[in-house]
Amino acid sequence: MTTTLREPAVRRHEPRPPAPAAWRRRLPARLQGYAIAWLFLLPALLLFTVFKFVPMVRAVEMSFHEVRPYLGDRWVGMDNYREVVTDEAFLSAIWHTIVLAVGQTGGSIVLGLALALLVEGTARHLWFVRTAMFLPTVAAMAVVAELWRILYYPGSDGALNSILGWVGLGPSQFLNSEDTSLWSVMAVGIWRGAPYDMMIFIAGLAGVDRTLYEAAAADGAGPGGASGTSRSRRCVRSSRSSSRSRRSAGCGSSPRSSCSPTAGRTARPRCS
Amino acid sequence: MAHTRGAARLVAILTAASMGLVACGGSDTGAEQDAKAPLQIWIRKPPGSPTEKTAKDLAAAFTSATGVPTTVTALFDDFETKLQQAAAQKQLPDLVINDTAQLGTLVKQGLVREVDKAGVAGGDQLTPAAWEAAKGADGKTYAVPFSAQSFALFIRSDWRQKVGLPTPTSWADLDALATAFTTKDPDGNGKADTFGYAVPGSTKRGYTSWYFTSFLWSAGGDYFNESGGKFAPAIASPQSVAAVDWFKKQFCVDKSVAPGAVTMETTQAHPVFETGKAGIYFTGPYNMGRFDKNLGKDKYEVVPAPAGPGGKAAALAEGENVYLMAGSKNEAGQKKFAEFAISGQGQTIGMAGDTDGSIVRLPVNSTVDLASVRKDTRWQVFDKIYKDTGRYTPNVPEWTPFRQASAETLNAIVANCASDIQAELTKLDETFGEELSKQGVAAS
Repeated sequence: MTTTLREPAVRRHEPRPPAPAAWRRRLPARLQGYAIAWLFLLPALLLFTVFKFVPMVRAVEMSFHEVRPYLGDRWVGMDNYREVVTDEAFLSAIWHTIVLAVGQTGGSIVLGLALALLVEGTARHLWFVRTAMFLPTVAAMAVVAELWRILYYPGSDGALNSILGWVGLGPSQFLNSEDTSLWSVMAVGIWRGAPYDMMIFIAGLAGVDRTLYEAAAADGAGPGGASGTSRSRRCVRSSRSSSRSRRSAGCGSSPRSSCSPTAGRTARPRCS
Repeated sequence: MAHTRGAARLVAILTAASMGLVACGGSDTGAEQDAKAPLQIWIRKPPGSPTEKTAKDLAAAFTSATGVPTTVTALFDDFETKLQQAAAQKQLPDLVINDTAQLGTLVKQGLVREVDKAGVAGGDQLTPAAWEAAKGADGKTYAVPFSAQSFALFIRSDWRQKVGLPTPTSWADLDALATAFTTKDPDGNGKADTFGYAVPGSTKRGYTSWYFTSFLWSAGGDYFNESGGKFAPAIASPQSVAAVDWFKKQFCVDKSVAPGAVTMETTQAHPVFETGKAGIYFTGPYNMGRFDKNLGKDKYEVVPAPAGPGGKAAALAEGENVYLMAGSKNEAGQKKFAEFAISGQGQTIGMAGDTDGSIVRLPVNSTVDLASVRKDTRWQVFDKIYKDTGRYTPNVPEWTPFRQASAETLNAIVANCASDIQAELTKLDETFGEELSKQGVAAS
């Protein structure tokens, strides 16, 4: 798009281009650019108008009426809004929605990062594990709901309750109790959302130069390192001293277990 | 800068255009009539079910009798929502066969036409009780009754014999049976995995209230006290509180209700009974075909629910109406279909013999002999319950808000064993009072 916009400007000093379209000749150069831009936008805008803007405007309009399609709508002003904001059930629903949104988003990010750190790397089996982990995100919501309904069966012979029973807990009512229902719904949301976040984190981690892992491995950094710092932090820190450590520690002389499960693999060709 | 101006201009144009579209969507006048226009018929039945087939048979018989073409659409989940969407687009079907309890909402929104009761051919053959269920709060008739039904206890007879208890004739008997089903391993598999009651206790469509209504009335409790078309809330009365207390005890003390009840709709509650997780299920006759197939006819019995302490037996009566929807191009055809549906022929097709495809549970036409159409004598039990103890929901202008509010309160009470019944019901009583005033029928 930008090329199209700038084109006339570049050609200002050049000889006239051979036989431009008639409408192009008539329109000033700047307008030509806008016309083309809007032309490209037009299909999307038309769809948005029909399926989004019009229904939105109509919905707002309807909210001020008592809607009776065959009797004619009746203007009620702010009554509908007044009723909604004073309705206890509505307010508690809004509050629960906020708690759910915050919990689900936060939970998904934390769990997604944890998962990403676990399965980051280039080994082929990891590719398979990652695909398997990503499945909840692409599974149809109806399937997910049915599956979890079975898992959450509140009897003592329910799937999750059996597991709780092994460790002497439960049976939990899960969705059937005021105390646990919101958390149960949230857990499903996190379970479904975390793999998506995991993919984003993995994409970010993939951008980290693999030589840094190598260097970190050479430095002896690891999840169980003396300082107990997390892998990611060690990786970043060790990148500062990577050139030094590569020289001093040499290839393969330090434990390869850290930083990435595949750190050793990437390093091997250079060492051998 | 010019760019922004252009964008602003475009947005302005689009907004104006959409406003224009909105303006065009105003109210229209009566649709042009055509006595041969095809009739769209919606029925609240699961798509692909035997009941859908019966509805299609009924429509086909109507078409061959009158020459008016029909299209039947069976819809089940979110039926009312879909109807609202159709109404918003002014694309309502011509006819809807749905619960009697929906009448008030449909009337209030003007989605149904008034019916001239005297002008309905064959209308004089219908039972007066059925016509009552087609009456709006203003005393006018807004539908043609099509089917009636009531509810009874389905009890696992094989389990009952195993635990050696009689058919319950009081609530104490009923609870004793439920407790025995829960604790005495009636299926003999050596595991404590059976329960007394299957309860559809979800708040969706007000199921909790729908289920509990019969028990509330049986114990002498009630939603309202009515006099002369005016209503006063009665849900916090001592009898109502006692009935709810009994209901909660099943969940919290006896623990005789199959787990998951408070989130169960009927579609999830049916399997609880038919797969042998619970042995007592208060439900309608339409489940007999299904349970005969999946559980076995010899394994359960159908008995009237006993009266509660201090009360007399009462069972929720409901049914289905044929609603003549607004905006139809073929109003004459609408009326003809309703007349066909209540005729002896229409009712018999709808009853579908002893199969599980019945869309007419109990015939509303008094000239139709139930016993000659259905050999299964259990239908007589339902017929007797309907005639002796059947009671329709209160005739307030719109019942739905009351059903929903009471379902939410009842659901909250049984879901939380620490709940205070009196306080919760007093709060519900207040909600009822406000809603009654809003609907203009509060007793002063």
